[in-house]
Amino acid sequence: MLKEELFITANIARLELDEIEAEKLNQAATRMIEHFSLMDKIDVDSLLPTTHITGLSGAENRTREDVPAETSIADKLIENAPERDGRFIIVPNVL
Amino acid sequence: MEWNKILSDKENKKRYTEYVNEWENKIHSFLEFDLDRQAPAQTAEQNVLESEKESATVRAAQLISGMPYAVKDNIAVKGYRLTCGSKMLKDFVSPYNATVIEKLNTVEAVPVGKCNMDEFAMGYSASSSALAATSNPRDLERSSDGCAAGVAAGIVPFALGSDTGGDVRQPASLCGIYGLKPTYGSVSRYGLVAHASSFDVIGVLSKELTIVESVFNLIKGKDEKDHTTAGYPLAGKSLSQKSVFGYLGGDIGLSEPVKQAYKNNIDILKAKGYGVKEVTFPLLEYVTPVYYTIAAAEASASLAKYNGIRYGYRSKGTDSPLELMKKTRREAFGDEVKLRILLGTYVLRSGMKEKYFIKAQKIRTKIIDEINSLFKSVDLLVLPVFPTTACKHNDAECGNRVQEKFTAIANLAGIPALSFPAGIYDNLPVGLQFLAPQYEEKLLFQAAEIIAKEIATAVPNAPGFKTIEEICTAGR
Amino acid sequence: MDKTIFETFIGLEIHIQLTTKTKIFCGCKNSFGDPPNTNICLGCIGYPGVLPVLNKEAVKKACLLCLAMNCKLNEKTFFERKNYFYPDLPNNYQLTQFELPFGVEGYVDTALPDGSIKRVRIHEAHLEEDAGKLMHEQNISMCDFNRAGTPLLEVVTKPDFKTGEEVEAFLLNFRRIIRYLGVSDGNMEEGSMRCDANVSINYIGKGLGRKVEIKNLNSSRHVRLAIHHEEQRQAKLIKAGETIVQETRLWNDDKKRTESMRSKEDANDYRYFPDTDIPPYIITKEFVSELNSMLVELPLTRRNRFISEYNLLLDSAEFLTEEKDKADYFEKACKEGADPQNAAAWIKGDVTKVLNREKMEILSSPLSIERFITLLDFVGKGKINGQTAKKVLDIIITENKNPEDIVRENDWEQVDDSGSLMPVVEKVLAENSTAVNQIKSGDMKPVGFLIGQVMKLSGGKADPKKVKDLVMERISAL
Repeated sequence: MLKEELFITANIARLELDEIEAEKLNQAATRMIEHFSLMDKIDVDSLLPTTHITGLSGAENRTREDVPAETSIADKLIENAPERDGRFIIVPNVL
Repeated sequence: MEWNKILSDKENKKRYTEYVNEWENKIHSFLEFDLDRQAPAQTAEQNVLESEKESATVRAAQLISGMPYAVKDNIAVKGYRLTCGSKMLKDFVSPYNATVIEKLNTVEAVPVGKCNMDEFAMGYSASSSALAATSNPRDLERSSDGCAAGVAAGIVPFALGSDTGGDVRQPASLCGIYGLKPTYGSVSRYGLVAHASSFDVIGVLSKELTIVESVFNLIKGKDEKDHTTAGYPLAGKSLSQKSVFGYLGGDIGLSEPVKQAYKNNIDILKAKGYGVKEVTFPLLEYVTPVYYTIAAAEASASLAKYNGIRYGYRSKGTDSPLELMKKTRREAFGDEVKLRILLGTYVLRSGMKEKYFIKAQKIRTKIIDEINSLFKSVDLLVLPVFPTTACKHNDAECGNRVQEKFTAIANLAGIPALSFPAGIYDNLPVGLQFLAPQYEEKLLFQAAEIIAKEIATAVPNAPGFKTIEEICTAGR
Repeated sequence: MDKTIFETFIGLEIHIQLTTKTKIFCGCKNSFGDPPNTNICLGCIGYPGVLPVLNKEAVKKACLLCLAMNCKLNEKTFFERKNYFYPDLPNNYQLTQFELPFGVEGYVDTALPDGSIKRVRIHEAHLEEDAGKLMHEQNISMCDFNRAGTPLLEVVTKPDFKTGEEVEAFLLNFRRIIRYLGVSDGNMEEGSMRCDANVSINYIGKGLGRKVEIKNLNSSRHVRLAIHHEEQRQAKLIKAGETIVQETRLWNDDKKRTESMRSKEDANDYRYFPDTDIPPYIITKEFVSELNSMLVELPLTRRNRFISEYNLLLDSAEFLTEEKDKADYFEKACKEGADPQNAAAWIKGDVTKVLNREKMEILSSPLSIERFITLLDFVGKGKINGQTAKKVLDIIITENKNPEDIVRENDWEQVDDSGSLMPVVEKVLAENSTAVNQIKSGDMKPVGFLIGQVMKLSGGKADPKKVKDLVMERISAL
């Protein structure tokens, strides 16, 4: 993979990388991409992609009834946030 | 083996704790261990087992009742941390129980600890864990994941693990125990932290085949919290003398010990009067590229939720949400996770998606078709689990990223597979696996039973292993 | 913008929050206006290990609206992950439909102010989850995840609109449609209906131009104004030989202009792929027939039927069909024997006035159809006069009483027998001799005054016509 591509990809994935890390990861990534290129050899154009493995065991629509669940977990979830202000979960945003 | 009875005695408990500590100083299989922890039931409502009337389930409940067990640290147990072997979730305590835990609570099995693992289950040996390094109880210079090590050392009679591309079966094989990867959708994933959702399944590791089968019978079934689960069909096939086992011939890249074990076990089946048939699986070389492409893509999305905002690690002193997310993910993810996120993001990017991701999904279709057609001529498949015996710590050559080629087949096709101890060479165990069509787990247990009778004495326990009875009678 | 040189193409992306009891993928309450982070659970704020479980009602409401928009329903659909990082999006991917949305290739007809009917094609409609909300303060942003996981149907139209007025009329009609179906309250101010507009202009005959997406449009009026502004802006640029930047712009309602968003992170690559936690959804024949039985006559069709069936004027029919409840009420009253013209006039006039004042809805107000019919009947039969009827209506609604009781208790029954009215008339004439003389000399002006005096003395319950007859009769006899 080109280093430039790696940085673009890292940015999309919201991963900060420095040059040293990028170098190390790029070598590993390049090796894997090469491995993936094995797939070029086979012609599967006529096949449909497998998107859901459950499709194998027959179709039955799975849904939930529209009934509110009893939960009292909200306060606990707020407490788990690294930073908060009252009931708000906050993130820095210095404009 | 009435664990709860034995451990209700104070002295016994002390001896057991000493035994655990002694092992743990050597193998570091647990990230948390608490013998007194009773997993609290999430709700008062009784978790009615789907197949309660099945006599197998009743027997299973009797066997497992009161047993301590270990849980891989990517399965939620209320009150325990849920670290996933990552700095990202190092201090994250689970506020809820996975469905499998709720189900085992109903028979009062006790989750006594959480096991070390590869970061976000990306691997098979816990070597990418950010929190501890686990050693194989067979040979401390070699690696293992926490679940398999803890079970092989006799710390717990069974463990719940997760299998995305082989991470139940591989460490189980390398430690000389059983490892079940159930049919996709037969066991609820609710409470299992996603690595790659179309492959992930919760599995069972144990030294005893009956325990594996019993635990599976207790945890399987449809769950309203996981819509990919289906009701488990009551009637399944049974093994008979007419049953045929398929195996791969030719050079499939096995080390000498594995090659020998493969041959020996096929010979055992033949000698027992079962049909054995050499089959070909030309798509074998595509298994790992397809598996890695799809798993990385799915993981790149599954792991996007860790951004330092709602829970877990947060980078300090950032100025914007963007910077917060980027720095948090940089500081708290390890190299292997970063690599897979980058790969997964890359294969989904516009311009790449057709070439990699869609292509992999199409080959997956072909692999499923081919597996299904194999099951028209054979009842089960016997395959290797890992090309070699257990790797040494930090051995870069060993495990060169094609090691999932035998195990990931079952994950690609959503079928069940059971790895079993198949021999021992230079004191290192070799495992093989049986694969069956979807929902035919019973065939796997019956097949493994045949081998167990022949090979049990040939595969001794890990050196220093003691049963609970041995631990507690020692010194009396 | 010179419409003889340029033409405009406008397409809309409308997000409709569906009115379900719970969120789309978890059992949290779907409600607006609660304290921050109260309607949250492990699922909708993206805890590790928790899986989405699809709400049946959200699917039903989404598909119902698709059918009402004349869409074809895809037989097999699934949800996909739309991957992008944003603090208000818990999983950092949005579960949405992409390759196979619920509805495709539909259309919606709208009556324009000039009376013509505009048909706008619907490209597709897909179900997805809403994100949470961010509020910005000095150095922090505050996240509230109450809204995260609210079911949204996103409707994408073809670029079929030519003017801001068309869009405004469409949005009003569209809001009526979704309220008729009961799938959403369509409140643009509260954000339960949100609309982005894609606007492009080009020289006539040259096809679509480069499109600009406008966001932050909180009312149909804003949409119209923003489109007007954008047409002017783009025309000016094109005339000056500049190219239009394909971008997202925000409507600034204070400054009445669109402004470039200039996002630092423009380059999003959403990397859609099928979500594997939610199995595919199959649209069955049974499901479609269930939906068909839930479909109702839509506002435009109903308006036209009111005109032809009840002989109403366009204006009245339009008014009555604004809300389904009002139209239903009207039709029920007619079925129970009310005169359509009369019922329409009352509903459009005093009934609506009092209900609005009391902040009540017609169907749940104390003015039951039965009471309404009785009231109309009293007037029709001359039991009470029009003025009294208005007072009775007011009391029915404010005090929840039957019209019969109100008239009886207040002794408001119209008096029209000469026997009891004549003494009053004579008294009034005797006290107002100047007026009487004026009339006798041919100046009819004071007649009204005299009638008024009689009405007043009779406590308002006299029949004004009868009083006039008696007054004239007595004066000519003098």
